[in-house]
Amino acid sequence: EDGDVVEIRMQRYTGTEEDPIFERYQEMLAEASDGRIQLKIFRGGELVPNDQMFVALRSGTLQAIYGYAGYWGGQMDTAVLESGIPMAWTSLEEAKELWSERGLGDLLSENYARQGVQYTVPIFGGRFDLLTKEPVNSLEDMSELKVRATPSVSAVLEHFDIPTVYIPPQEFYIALSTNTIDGLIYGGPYDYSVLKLDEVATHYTDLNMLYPGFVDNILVNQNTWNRMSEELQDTFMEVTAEWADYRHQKFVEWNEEEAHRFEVTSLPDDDVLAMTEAAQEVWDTEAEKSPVAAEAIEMVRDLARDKGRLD
Amino acid sequence: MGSIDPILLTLLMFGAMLGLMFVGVPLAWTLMGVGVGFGYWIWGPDSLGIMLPSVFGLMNEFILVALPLFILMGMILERSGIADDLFGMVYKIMGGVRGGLGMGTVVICALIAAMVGITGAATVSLGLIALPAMLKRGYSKQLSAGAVMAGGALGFLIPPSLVMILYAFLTRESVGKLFAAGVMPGLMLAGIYIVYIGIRCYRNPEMGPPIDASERLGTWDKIKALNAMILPGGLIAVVLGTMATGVASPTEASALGASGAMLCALVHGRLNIPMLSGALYSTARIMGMLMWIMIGAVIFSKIYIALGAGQAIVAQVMAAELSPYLVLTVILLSYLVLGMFLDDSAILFITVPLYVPIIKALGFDPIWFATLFVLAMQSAYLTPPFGYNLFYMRSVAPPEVTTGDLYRSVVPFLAMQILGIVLLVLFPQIALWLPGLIFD
Amino acid sequence: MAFFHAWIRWQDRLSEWLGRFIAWLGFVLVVVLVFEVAARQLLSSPTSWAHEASTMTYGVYAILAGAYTEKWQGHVRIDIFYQHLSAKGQALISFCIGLFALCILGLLLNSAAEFALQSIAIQERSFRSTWAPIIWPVKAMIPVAVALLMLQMLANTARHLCTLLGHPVERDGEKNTTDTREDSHGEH
Ligand code: NA
Ligand code: NA
Repeated sequence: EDGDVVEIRMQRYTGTEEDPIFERYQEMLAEASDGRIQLKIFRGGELVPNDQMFVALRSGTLQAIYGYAGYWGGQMDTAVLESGIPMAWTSLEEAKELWSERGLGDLLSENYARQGVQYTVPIFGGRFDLLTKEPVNSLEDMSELKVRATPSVSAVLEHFDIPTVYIPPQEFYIALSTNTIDGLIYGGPYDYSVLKLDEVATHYTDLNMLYPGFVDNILVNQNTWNRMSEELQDTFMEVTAEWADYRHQKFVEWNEEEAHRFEVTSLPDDDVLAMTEAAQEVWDTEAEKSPVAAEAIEMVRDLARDKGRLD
Repeated sequence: MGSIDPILLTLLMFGAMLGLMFVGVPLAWTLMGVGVGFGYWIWGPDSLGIMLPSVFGLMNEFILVALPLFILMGMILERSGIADDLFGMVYKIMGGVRGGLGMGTVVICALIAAMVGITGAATVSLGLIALPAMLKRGYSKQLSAGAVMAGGALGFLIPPSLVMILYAFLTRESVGKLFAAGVMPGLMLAGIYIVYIGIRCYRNPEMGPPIDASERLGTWDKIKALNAMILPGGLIAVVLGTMATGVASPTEASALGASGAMLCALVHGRLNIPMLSGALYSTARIMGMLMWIMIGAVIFSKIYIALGAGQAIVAQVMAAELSPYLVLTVILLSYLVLGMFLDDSAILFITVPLYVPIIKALGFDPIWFATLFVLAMQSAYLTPPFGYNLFYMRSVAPPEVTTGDLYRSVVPFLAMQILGIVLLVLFPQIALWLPGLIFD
Repeated sequence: MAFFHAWIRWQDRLSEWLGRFIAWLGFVLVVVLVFEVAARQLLSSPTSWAHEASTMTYGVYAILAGAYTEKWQGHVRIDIFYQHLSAKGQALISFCIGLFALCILGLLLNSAAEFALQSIAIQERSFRSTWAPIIWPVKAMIPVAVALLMLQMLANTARHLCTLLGHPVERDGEKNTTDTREDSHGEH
């Protein structure tokens, strides 16, 4: 069976702008496996809508996905915290420590296995900060702004009476240019310049809220995974980890390349501490979802304490 | 999943689709049946799993909430008496000019188009009001029917527009930018129709004779007749204005528009429970039809792409290094052909995943391409055998207007639509100027 | 035969009343969204629920409307050949088309039920706003909508069979009560 070719139907959530990155992944896998692992990669939404990718993976319609667990936050207890919640980790080193030394990776692996899914590796994303039309130097400055944010970030901002709204990415540009929103928390300089948002808003505030700002993953349907020999499984893991590093490095480079388009400021340390306090409620909400989620949140909390970010 | 030559698969799938449609199978079940059948045959039972996430995707998208609301707005306006008022105004102001009622009909169509997102409202209202009035004054059957149908089709190009909402849903472009891009091409096309009717009737007054001198009004009365513009003007300002200024998202603007339409009906004394429920019932039936066509089309399209045909064809086109304008021409011609047989939303769902990556790779602007698409879909509304505006007109036209008359009447207007497409290809700024002006 | 006819008429009435009920959800959508705009622009306090609530209402509305459309035979089609056939010829073609569509929808029903059960099993929630409502009832409406559509289609197909067998079913006298103007099959 070792000589058999495994064809894998995979969907990613990203669009045409990332074609080359994923062609590289395809080639790396093919090369390392002597052509025995053949990925057929579809772009975001091509086969199923992005927020239904996880359902389709479990049912076997998709055999692998490059996903962002925030999409299935309502379907799985640990998904939201895996994708990144406010103040959970603030540097690549912290995130790596959490995943490989403090056991979050294994916990997620077991939890995904219960869903009939093989977890491979985390793919650490780029930055996740505030972009506004007017300069922001403190949380207080934000309280008069309408900001677009993800649900878990909104929950933190609501603590400081900062009103948040939900708007899909394709409407960011117009929403900013028509003052429907005054700012948004969505990504880093690269993500903002891809959406051409630097044309309408140039004030970038480093929130120190979460870095890497989002964590993606590659998941494989269990039946598909089991069709691979152990040797192929190892190859798959190694190549994916290697590519994940490359991918993270790309985010770093791109963000550096585009940073000159923005005027960057950061929040005072007091505000960062206040946000960490406020984030406790979000953490608690996640922990209440299940004993497994509670265990994961405990890891996050230990990390924050050991790094002196939390009492 | 076996592999099959992408060209052969394309021919088989589209052939099966056309075959079933000509037998008379409704479009929704045709698309679904071909998708499911080919998925099962080539990919196996796993292919069925692709249907449901996509069906749910059509139910779980905020921008699509605008679909029923813009339909409802059209249904209410159709019953509100606004079209009667506008036609009365046109009659008073332009009735004395050769072809004036025809030109005025196009103007009314453009105004209604700026209020509603569908083509049926203008076509049906004016088919009931303007067409009999023009025929009674001795206007040529073909000129008047053609003007109403082509004018009605402007509903998609001049915002708001259902097709543009669907395009935005599929391509993740901004609804606001798409709407803004449609304005100038829409006005341009309306202008072309008006000039055409003016010239034809000036040369052959028997095609569109002026009304009797005894019925004509003085200048002051003509100015007073402009009263009829107040309500439509207000409604246009509410729907387009709230969107352009960011007060409301396109979906919210559709709700404001529907409530504004109710207000207009109230002012005309036509708002009552039977009228409102009638509009709501019609809206539900149309939404049911549209939803299931979208479901069928999305299943057809996902299976086609999952079988690998889409990517293979895109790769082949790109590898051939053809001239971008040659590729664009072929794409636009395919739209005219598909438009003869298919519903616009079905065409959109099937072709966008295939064509838009090509368009982007060739360096064209996707917003500009969207307006070209909508222009091509206007023609789809007029080409037999499957043309919505032909259906609408058939359902409301007086019996002396035969189906043959309708088919002949669209010919010159189709030619002008194609002229519009050519102009837009040559001068992309016609579409791109306004979005740049408003949003940059 | 009388029983058969009674069932067809009963099914028509069921679809009509369900359809009319669903149709008013369109009005609910208007109210919810106008409220949201007013709350945000006039009171500066956007709701956390209006967008998702309207999206969910729309989803249920759109999918369930299919049976109502079917009751009015409003799913568009090309009739260039069909219209030249005799009444019995039309009934035969429509009968066959009905069987075809029922088979396809049967497959869809099966997948839809699995999809909905999976969502119910995990008590799936939506995750777009801090509101985070349960979303499984929306997914559960898909198999319900397909089933209602199939029931109406079964009745329509049975009606064509009756015509074929020479016992046409009379329509209920309700046609003129729902609309202020005649519907055409091409309405959009
Ligand atoms: Na319009
Ligand atoms: Na057509």
